[in-house]
Amino acid sequence: MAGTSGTPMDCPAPTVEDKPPFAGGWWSASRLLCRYVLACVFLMAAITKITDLRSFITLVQTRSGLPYQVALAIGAFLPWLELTCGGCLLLGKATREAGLILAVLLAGLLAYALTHLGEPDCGCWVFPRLGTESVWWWPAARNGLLLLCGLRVAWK
Amino acid sequence: MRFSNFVRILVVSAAMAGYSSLSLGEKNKDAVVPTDSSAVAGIPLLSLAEAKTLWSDPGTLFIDVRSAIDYEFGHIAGAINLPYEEFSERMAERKPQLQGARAIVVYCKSKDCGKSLWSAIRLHQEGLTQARIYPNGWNEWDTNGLPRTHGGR
Repeated sequence: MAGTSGTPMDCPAPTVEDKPPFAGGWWSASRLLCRYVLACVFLMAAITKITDLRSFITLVQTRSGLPYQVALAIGAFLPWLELTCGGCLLLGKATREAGLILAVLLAGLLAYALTHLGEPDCGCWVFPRLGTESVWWWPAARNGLLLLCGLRVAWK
Repeated sequence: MRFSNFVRILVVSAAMAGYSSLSLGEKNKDAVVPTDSSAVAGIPLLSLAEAKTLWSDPGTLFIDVRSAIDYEFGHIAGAINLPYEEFSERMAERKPQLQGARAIVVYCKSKDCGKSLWSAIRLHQEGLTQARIYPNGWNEWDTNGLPRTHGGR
């Protein structure tokens, strides 16, 4: 039969050990889910900030404690970075890189939330501003969950 | 993971941020500088148009000297709250931020409220000579439907 004659190739048959870990469909599905969750959250957060950029810049200045010019630069740059990364995740372009950038960003936000437990939430996100007196852990928990999503997207 | 993708993401974001900053700066190009005729105790008084123009400049800091309750109910978007009554206690923590601002606009409820004048005088005494007063304050800003927000300090 054409194509079946000749010497067999030296390629060994795959074994169970050769299979990548978490090869199941749920693992891929979790990445897709995390990708779209992050895309939605960051696109909406970016649009909210860009439409009122002046307020966001002031918010960064008043909350960060950074030197004025540094806070100004970060306040002007951050919403556009969120928009670009959110767009990448939504369109499926450079998703791992975008996921990693957002994970780094979220790690910073998580550190801030942990060191400022109980303070009023900044309202920078699309999530409802729960009363921080009763739900003091909400900002840290939310940022932690989003950070896990970012890491999952960055993971191959 | 590719290094070039990181660079692309950062370059695109920086380009958009640069463009938006230029747009904000462009809006401020024709800013009207108040003359001495519209000044009290050597501190310039701003009209609504002047306050609006300065508001478009990210280098301007608006200070709301009304009470925390009034501020939380509604204030000029981006303004920080520095109630006149707490001025002395909170000035030290705010000073580095105020020093970095190109312009500071102090406002209160309306012309009848003297807190903005006294706060601006104290800012000038602290060496913050870029402080100006928007005498018609919150009432005029809100009536004209200009950007406002609520909550937070």
